[in-house]
Amino acid sequence: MQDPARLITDAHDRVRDLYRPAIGRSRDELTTPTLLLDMGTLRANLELMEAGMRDVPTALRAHVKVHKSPHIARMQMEHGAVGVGCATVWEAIVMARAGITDVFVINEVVGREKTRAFALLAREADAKAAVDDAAQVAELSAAAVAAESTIGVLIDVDEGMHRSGVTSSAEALPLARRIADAPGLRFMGLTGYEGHCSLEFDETRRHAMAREAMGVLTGIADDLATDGLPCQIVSAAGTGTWGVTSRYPGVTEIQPGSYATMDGHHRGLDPRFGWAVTVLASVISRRPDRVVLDAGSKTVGASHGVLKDWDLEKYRFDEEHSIFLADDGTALATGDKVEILCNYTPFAIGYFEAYHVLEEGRVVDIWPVMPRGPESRWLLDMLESGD
Amino acid sequence: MRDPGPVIANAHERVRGFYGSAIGRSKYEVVTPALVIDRDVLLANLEYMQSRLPELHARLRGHVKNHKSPHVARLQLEHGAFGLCAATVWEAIVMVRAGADEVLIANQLVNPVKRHAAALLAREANVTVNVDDVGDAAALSAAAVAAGTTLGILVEVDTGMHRAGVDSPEEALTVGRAVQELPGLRMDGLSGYEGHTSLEMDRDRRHEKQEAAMRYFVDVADHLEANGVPCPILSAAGTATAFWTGANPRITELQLGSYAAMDDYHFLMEPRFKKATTAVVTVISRRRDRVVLDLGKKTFGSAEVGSIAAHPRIFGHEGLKPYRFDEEHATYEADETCPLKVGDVVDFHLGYTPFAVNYFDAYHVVEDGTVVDIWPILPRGPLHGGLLQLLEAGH
Repeated sequence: MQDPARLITDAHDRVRDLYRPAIGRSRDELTTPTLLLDMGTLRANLELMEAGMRDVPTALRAHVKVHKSPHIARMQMEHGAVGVGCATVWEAIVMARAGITDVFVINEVVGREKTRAFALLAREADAKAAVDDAAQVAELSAAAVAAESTIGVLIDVDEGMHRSGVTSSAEALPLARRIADAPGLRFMGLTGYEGHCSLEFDETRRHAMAREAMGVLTGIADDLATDGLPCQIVSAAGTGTWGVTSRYPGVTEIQPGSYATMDGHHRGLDPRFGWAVTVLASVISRRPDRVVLDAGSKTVGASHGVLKDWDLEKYRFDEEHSIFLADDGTALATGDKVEILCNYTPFAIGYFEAYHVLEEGRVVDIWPVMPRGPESRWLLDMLESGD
Repeated sequence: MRDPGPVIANAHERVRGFYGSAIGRSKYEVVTPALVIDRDVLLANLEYMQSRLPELHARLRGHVKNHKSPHVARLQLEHGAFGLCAATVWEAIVMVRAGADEVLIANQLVNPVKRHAAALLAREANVTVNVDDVGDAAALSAAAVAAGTTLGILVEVDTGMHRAGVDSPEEALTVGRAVQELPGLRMDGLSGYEGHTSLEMDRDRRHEKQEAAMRYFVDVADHLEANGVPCPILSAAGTATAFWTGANPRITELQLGSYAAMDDYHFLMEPRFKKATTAVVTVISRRRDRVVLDLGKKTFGSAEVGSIAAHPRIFGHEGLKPYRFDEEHATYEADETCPLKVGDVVDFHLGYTPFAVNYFDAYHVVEDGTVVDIWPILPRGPLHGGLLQLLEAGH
């Protein structure tokens, strides 16, 4: 891993300057709502995954879309990851500048400027993308040729999630050949996230579904090998299935991300990992039958959450408020701080520009969320200017 | 209205630097997903609201939490709004720096840093804050005294929304009296947003609930006034109830916001305002039985408001049934008769725009399908993003 580039250190300096008064303070002294990252829990999660990967034949590719943090990504690399997985080309640019050379956009990169950004990125990193369509192969190839770079390409396989991806060897074979023949592209293998399994909370059924999905994925890989197109990488798995998929013969790497920061959804799938990221809120109104907090849907995001240390029923989430039922027996008063355990943390993280990083209840640093939000075209300008 | 301050000009310059290469191009040539605001539709909405104001008793205080745009806020002020309304103190700071002289933070602040920020902001504009708690009022008073300013106070009344707000005329009187006596505070009246009515899609039932809420609200005001606490301001209403609540002769101001930029959720209740805010997105995968777009819940936010569907969907293909919304993908069922293919760039109905707006840096401002400007989203997200230092430094 290389040292982080200026893009990252500048972003770090910027948020540390903005939120410097919080450093050294305890959780209860912070301005709310704010995004907390507990370092002790994060480290324990990373160590648990690292230990789990020691006796399996697959490599760990840490997904970063969950946390969007160059700092957490670097820690994932220090805990056994061989590279990172990203959902967007912008995430990949940030992670490459964070010093990580192996970046894989596990998604279709479509559109002139996104493919150009990706091809430029491939000059400075081992950049890989997923495809499921011939038109996209041509677009990526043209971009790589224009940028004089080489892009690694994996075919996206739909093994039951029903999002993107090819569904058969008959579809994969001509696509793989086209990639292998396209200038500027290198055929690397297959990727097939079994995300539908992470919607199944029964472990036995989930594991059976994951095995079935891996049967489809590795079956296609076998057919490609028979046809002279061996797959160097066969990538799959999320936090809900990593235990099974990391041991499945023919799979070469797993791509989980939530294990680092966690949330309610993923703890339902694998409770060995702890809540490292929470949203700190304040009680801003205390009524006889309820408490109103200053963090709502525009802070916590679509899947809402529950309270840490307080077993209260959710009444409603509004844009800037969440409301929980609480009678006189609940010792919460106006001004009190509570932590919201998000059901799906990425939605919350997407709204914030920084984490308040805690060690044993005290803020020790501020880390940027990067890239923030859906649009980051300026990162393309940065690559083009050679900065 | 004053000229916008440097914080607005700098933010504008910054996003024009990021996305300005799109200016002059068709909106279908921008990098997707992008947030788009149609200037003509926006102006038509603002003009329609302005045209209705003379027949209403209440004045218009334009809410900004929906769009978080200093540029849209200024247009609201140019189209009949006498002041602005914000959900957070950070929004209020931005809007004062955008040139507003009047801003209501229709929310409890509670946090000491936020109270301090509101008290500092009152040096630059008439700042009003909601309270529902005597302790919070006392702390606001201390913050205002320390800053040498006066904060206007509205006692928040729960008119049926069951969020914050006092529950009874007696409690309102207790809080109102406390505010009257506290230094640095000016007891301005009551705030009673009937937000529960905006969760009622049936027009007649919504109207009944609105009337009941305002009847109670006025009763609370009567109780205070009869007991020596004048309430010159009674502030309420959202886009779904504005014309009813605005016609009530006792209500003095309306705090609606969605009317300007609009979205699918509010369009279900008030179709006289049109959708000015949409997105452009790209088809990134086309399977035999579905299309996959490059935006998901980390772009448009939730597909529901409470338990009501907000209907994020593709323009021109509104009939396509959503299959699933993931973080970075929206997947719709679409058989071979649907002409959409990989690389197609299409317009997208965002559902409930405030969730989406908060994820973005900027709007691509469009006229006749061509990008004419880039407007910043400010403040973006839940943190203050440096606004506190700005205020403290006095620039």
